[in-house]
Amino acid sequence: MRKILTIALLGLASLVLTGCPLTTGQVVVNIDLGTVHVSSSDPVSIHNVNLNDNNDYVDHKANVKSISDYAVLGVVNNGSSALNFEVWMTPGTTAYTTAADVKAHAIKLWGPLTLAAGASRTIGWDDSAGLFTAAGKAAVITETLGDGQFTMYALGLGTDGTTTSEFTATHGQLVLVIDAGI
Amino acid sequence: MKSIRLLPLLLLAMMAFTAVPARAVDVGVTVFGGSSIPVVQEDVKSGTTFGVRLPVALLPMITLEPYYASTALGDVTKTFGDLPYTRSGLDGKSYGVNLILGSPVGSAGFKFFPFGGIGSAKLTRPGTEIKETMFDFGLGIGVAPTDAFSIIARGTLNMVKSGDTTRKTADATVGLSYNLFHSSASEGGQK
Repeated sequence: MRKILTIALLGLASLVLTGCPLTTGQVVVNIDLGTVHVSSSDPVSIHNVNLNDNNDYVDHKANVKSISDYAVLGVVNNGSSALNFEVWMTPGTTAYTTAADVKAHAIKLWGPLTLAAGASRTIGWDDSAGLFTAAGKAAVITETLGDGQFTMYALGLGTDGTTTSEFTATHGQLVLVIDAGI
Repeated sequence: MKSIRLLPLLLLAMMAFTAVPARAVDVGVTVFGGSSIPVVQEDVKSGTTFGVRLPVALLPMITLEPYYASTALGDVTKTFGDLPYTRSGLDGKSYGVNLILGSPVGSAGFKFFPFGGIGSAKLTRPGTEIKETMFDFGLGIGVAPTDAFSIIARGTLNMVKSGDTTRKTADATVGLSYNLFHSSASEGGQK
């Protein structure tokens, strides 16, 4: 009996030593990004995000541990040129107006999603999750654990990577799966 | 870090094996399958699990049980901005060892046993790969019509560590066990 007790205590100790949080879960939070439009005269689409406006986030804010899944969703309608659709972000509120400024000061969050001229596509959840960058994930986690405020930039870059290509994305969504205490 | 995590497991194995020579030994094989239900995971749905276990009863009340399991959690569809989107469920492969207080193999009769274990799990889906330590614990009940066969039902809570949190599933499985080997100090035989 003493041996069984010792073994049970060793097992319990292993759980404690390695950490084994039982009271956590995965919660889906979506942020509406509305319609995004980029053109040569308006080369950057800016969206200020305040997670504190999202009830699902607010409900779990005090117990957020991390984020386990990320996606940018919506329907993209491309213009007359092939393009690479990218999303960048900065902490806090910023207002860069050119793609060059965004690329110089922001963190690449997602993309590129390459679209042929005139193409229309609904961005799938699985496809989108694979387009998030490691740096972008780290930045979103930092903001989610911080004040919850950041700025997202949508860019439509031509295949040369510098010129702006026109596109419109509707039903835009940022979807995060938050690991949180429950 | 991995070696530190596995240290308690090695200690358990050493304690059990050092006591083997004077005791009865039963070695079985169990194939099992059932359902896997996510616990507080909004991004997956219920799925299936199946696998194989190798219970080795080394002491009257102690069984070590290496296992391998494959799990396929279901896809989830949610509506965002008036449009439905589907996220693939997580596919899991796990292996490890359980410590059972009692034994699912051995003599005929009714079986009831608590168990707990540690292992390694890999969860994947497009854009996601989690490879982490897994803990599990639960209860098993079963009946053995003969010394050779038993039917075992188990309820298990699995927890795959993911940073400071865990992904948890509750599994309900049914398994068929066959006793491959039996020997004891008094009998000295095997079947």
